[in-house]
Amino acid sequence: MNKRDRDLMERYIYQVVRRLPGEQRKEVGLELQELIGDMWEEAEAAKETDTPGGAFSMDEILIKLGNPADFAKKYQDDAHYVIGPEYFDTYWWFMKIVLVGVLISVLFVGVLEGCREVSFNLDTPDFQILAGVIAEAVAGMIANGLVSAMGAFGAVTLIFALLERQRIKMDIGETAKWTARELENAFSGKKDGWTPGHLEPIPHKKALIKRSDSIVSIIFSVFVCVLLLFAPEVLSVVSRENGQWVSVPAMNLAEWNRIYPWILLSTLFGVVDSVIRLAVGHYCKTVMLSGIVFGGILQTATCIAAFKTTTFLNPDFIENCGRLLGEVFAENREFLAYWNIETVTNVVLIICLVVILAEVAVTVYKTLRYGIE
Amino acid sequence: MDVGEEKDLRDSLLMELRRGTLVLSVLSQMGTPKYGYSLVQSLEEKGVVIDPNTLYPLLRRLEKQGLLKSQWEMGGSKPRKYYQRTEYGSEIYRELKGQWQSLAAGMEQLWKEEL
Repeated sequence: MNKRDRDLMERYIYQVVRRLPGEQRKEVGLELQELIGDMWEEAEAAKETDTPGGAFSMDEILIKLGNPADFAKKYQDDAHYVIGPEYFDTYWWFMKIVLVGVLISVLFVGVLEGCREVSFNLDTPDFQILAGVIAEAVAGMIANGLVSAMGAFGAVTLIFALLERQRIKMDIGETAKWTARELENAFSGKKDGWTPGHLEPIPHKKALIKRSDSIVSIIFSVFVCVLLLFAPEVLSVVSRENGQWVSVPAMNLAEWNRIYPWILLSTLFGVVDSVIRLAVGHYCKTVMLSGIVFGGILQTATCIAAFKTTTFLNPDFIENCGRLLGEVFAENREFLAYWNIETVTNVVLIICLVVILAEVAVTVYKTLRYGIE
Repeated sequence: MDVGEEKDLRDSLLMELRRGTLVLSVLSQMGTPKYGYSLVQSLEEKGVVIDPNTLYPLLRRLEKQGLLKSQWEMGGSKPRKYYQRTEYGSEIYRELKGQWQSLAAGMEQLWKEEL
């Protein structure tokens, strides 16, 4: 075998083994070396005896073996999916809804931010400054859109990919070791260990989780998340002071970098719960467990952690409002005297917890009432 | 259906038909140790054509399933991997052969009725 042929052979082997798992590479490489060597020896012998129809050169041998990528594929036992066919439809639908939610939210936040900035600068006669403000708002909107879309895409794909791995694990666990006895069953179409008794009852009509029911909650979660991430300052009281527009944010923007990871985490748990609901498709023990763990325990823990480890609301909100609103504030002094940052934080936290627990309660009720036969 | 599509369909049906017989064909030859390319040749001589790029991965799969065992022989001009049926492989082979015979008899019956 001359240098060129050896080089071609080695390149071919490399192209096959580089596509295989690490532990298989060495041995498959040796096998291929043996195979190509045998084919080459056969070709040499055929050349001497002038046998027609054989592969005579290294090129022809490698052509006969075919594309190394296809060869490598045949060494892989199972199809590898990030998201397999069982979940792909739900995954794609979910992804579209989340991305639409992101688009709507980013547009809304962008327009709101843009209007806010423009109205703050309306007194400026300089058109160039106004145009700059608008351009900045549009650029911000595009940047936020890209960051949110990529983040949402990654998070949703990751959740479904984990679900897929979990399903495969469960399937493997359910499959008993293949025995010779199953051979007969394989031909007759029977499967050992399975009887029609294993057929689960069709879920009660009221236990079905419709995709359409989830749209609003998914879009709402994405909307709140995007709004709080990119424009928490829109939740402000705005007024004019000394001929200038001034805003008093309700959220504690100074601490926002510590606060928004909690919001992201909480949204993520909510999305995991939604994905599991949609993938399963009806209220059952799995959905109830997911609702309790992701929708209940983890979201409750995140909320409490967010409200108790950070100062979620602006501690100077009332003081600044008082200065800004003057008379209006003075008229409501009695009512506003109850406005204490700790009390308000606790009230908001309680509202969040009530909403979370109400959703868990609905899931548990529907599962026990309709989902478990 | 154009000519290309018809050929594709024909090829895929043929491939499907042959795929089912490959395991049985390979197991039938593995009573004694054989290395990959000698198996390609011995099958070819008997009219069973199998591409090396199908056979080698198949041998590894059957080994993983416990139907074949392998051993590297380092003594010759180059290292060779010899495969042979395991006891479990022989058991499965006998079962498959029995199934094949009854399947073939059934097919024969179907064709007789066709005439």
